[in-house]
Amino acid sequence: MKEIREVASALLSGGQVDWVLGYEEDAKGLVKPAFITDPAQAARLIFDPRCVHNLAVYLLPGRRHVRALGRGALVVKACDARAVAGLLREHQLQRDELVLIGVRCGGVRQDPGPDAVLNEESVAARCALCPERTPQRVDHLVGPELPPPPAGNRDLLREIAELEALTSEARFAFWSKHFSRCVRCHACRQVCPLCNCTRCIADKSQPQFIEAAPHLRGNLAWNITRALHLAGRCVGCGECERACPVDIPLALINAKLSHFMHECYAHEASEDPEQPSPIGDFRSDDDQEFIR
Amino acid sequence: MSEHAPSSPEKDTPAPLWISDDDLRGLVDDCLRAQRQVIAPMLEKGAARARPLYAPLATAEALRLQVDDPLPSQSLRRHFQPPSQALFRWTFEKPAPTEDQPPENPLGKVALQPATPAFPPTVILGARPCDAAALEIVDQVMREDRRDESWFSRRAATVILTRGCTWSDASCFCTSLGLGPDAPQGSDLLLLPAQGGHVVRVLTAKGQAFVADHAPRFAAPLPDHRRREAEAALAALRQDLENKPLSDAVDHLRQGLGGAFSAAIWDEVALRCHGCGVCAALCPTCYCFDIVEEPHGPKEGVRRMKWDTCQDPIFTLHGSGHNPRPNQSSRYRQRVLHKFSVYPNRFGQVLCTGCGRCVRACPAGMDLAEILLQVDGALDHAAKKS
Amino acid sequence: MSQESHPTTPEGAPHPEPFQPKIVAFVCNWCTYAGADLAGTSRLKMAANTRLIRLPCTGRIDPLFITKAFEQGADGVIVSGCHPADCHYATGNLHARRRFAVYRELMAFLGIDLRRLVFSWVSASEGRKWADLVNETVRELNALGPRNAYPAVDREGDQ
Repeated sequence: MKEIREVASALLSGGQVDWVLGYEEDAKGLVKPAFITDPAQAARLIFDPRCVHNLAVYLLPGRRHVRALGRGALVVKACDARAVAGLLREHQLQRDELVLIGVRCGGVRQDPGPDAVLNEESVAARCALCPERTPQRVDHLVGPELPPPPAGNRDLLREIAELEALTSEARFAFWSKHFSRCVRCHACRQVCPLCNCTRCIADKSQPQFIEAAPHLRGNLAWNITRALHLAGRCVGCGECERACPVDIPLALINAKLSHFMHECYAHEASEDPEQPSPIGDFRSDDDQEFIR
Repeated sequence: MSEHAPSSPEKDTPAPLWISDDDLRGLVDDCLRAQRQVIAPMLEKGAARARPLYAPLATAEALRLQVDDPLPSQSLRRHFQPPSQALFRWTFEKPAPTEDQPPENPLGKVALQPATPAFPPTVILGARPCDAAALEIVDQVMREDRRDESWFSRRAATVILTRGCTWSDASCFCTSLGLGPDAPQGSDLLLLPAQGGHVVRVLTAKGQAFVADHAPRFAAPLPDHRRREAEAALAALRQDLENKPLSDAVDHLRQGLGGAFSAAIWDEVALRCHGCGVCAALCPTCYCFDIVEEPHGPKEGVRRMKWDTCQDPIFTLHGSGHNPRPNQSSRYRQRVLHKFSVYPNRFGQVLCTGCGRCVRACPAGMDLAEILLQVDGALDHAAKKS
Repeated sequence: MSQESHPTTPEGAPHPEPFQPKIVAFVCNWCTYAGADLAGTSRLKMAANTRLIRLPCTGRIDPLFITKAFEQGADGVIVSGCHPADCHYATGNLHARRRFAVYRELMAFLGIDLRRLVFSWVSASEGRKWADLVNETVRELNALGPRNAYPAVDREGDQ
């Protein structure tokens, strides 16, 4: 925590950046994104298991009011750094536009507070799937080495396996029940750093490929399309599921496709900005057992 | 004034009644037998945690009488304004060419078939006072200019029994807006929890008629010590409830003082906002909607109404491509000013009941009550109305 | 192709059942469309249940097209194009191959019966293969029954 404040303060007073985006807590003990523009404000920055948010989303070109602040520094956990790598890979950012303050992570909670304790009940399910908890390719690396997160009560891979063991009818009933609740707020899209199309296909009306009304048919089209567009690009930060106001287990779908991309194509959304595109690329020996 | 004034007490306010927990379940049973839908707060098993929601009861046993259940994450909005609703179906017939006479309508004819939404007579049992109060507030816009028949048919078919709150958390701010754990607005009958049952306050003629219809359930005399117990719990809760000093902020916004619209503070406030619309999706007083066409081929289709939110980037996108609210700063400002300035100026009530859902659910930690204070603090109150 | 006019029972084609599956086939212009045409000119016996949608290349197929087909009431979807290394645009089908694999995996996970989603490589000379593919698919769908899981446009009622 002290290190983050020192680095942030130095960057701001040195004029290398106009703003630093990190985490702070409010009077209720809830952690939230903090935009710091003055070295004196750096004392507000904290880092603990309540720091669940993926701040990379604020770098998207569409966030004009953030861009307007000037050159910035971002506090990133490893998952957030992988999201930044994704944005660099897809030319949404230039590397020299920003400074990355990487912080070593020991896992985060499902919620941003007020409780700060990390245990098997509170730990976010996605942390169990994290391949690397130390952010790579950052400009500053702070924070102590932390032990791995406790094994949580919720095991995403097991839940996926349980679903796959059901008949397709039972699985469809499961997903229909969830998607019937979707109200198409698109929070899942808005909080996702990899959902960065200038014009989302769901918003296009000529033609209206994805029906806008929140009935099951429209909701299926939306959620199927979003999952597909994220395949191999999702970094598993879990923000979509956390944001969903009607508790759709989106993490299961994204984890499932990430897992598939890894099993089938040895692809994992990594911190390497030169990594080939998961679906845009191909190999001559890609699986085609399913093609008659 | 923009805060919610309590509804003027009826001339002959009926005396409070009593209903035991057994009788309450019996009441649910009676309603279900009479083909009346009963919607109550439920707790569904969720992926990460239990999911609280308002849902139809299948049996009387399913009724939850716990006093510490969380607030249903969604409001009652979807029961009065469904997230997706067909308005009508159209079919287009092009006349077959005939040899002698030219067809009456050479271009073809469109037939409209209005949708007939079916919703059963409903009892909402155990609604939170903030959720019921919201319905009355939204009624005003629903009857302005063009009466929304769908909304009012559902309102007419529904009896609302609210349940007084037994707890609050740091996100609740209903008392800052003139409401409270036993607010009567929007409610027909208010049930105040006590040991073994509820004290019943009859608030409207509809509530009175409901009691009369189910007289045996409400027949037991009200034990005085239970009434005192319920009222003491309320008093204690009112003490606890965070009473944020919002009246000044709300007044200033309503009067447009200090250049509320043009203030630069919105840019700072909206920095962390994702424009995700979760606040609107859960809000009991949000009502914005969009109309969409769903053509099924060239000859038929359905026109629907669906929920919309001013936080969606394309909410105000014109066909020309111009967007008068091109950034999150202007969109967030719109949300706050609509609720705390435009609506009260038009209808005399703020479009908010302080339920706190937006605060609890916001992925970016936007706290509406804190933001109202922050904005007010930044306004130049000495300046004349701009 | 209306549901009422089902084909007579030529040899090799499935027996007409009361249920005639509606199949949408997304085919590439250079290979499969030509192959299907060859099946026709060769007078091969084929069920008439498919509605062909011709695209320049399987690489043009956005999985959303397949989703739309199910939404509009298709009981089954066939996707077919050139064999790898034979693509008219060199690599279109190689891009498509991965896309299809992921889409298929996702649909299976969501509970769509994959027997309703058939992928194939059919070249311009494989008229027989196309006819067999169509007949086989219709037979399988006859057994499976009408699309029941995926919510399709309801042409009669509300919603």
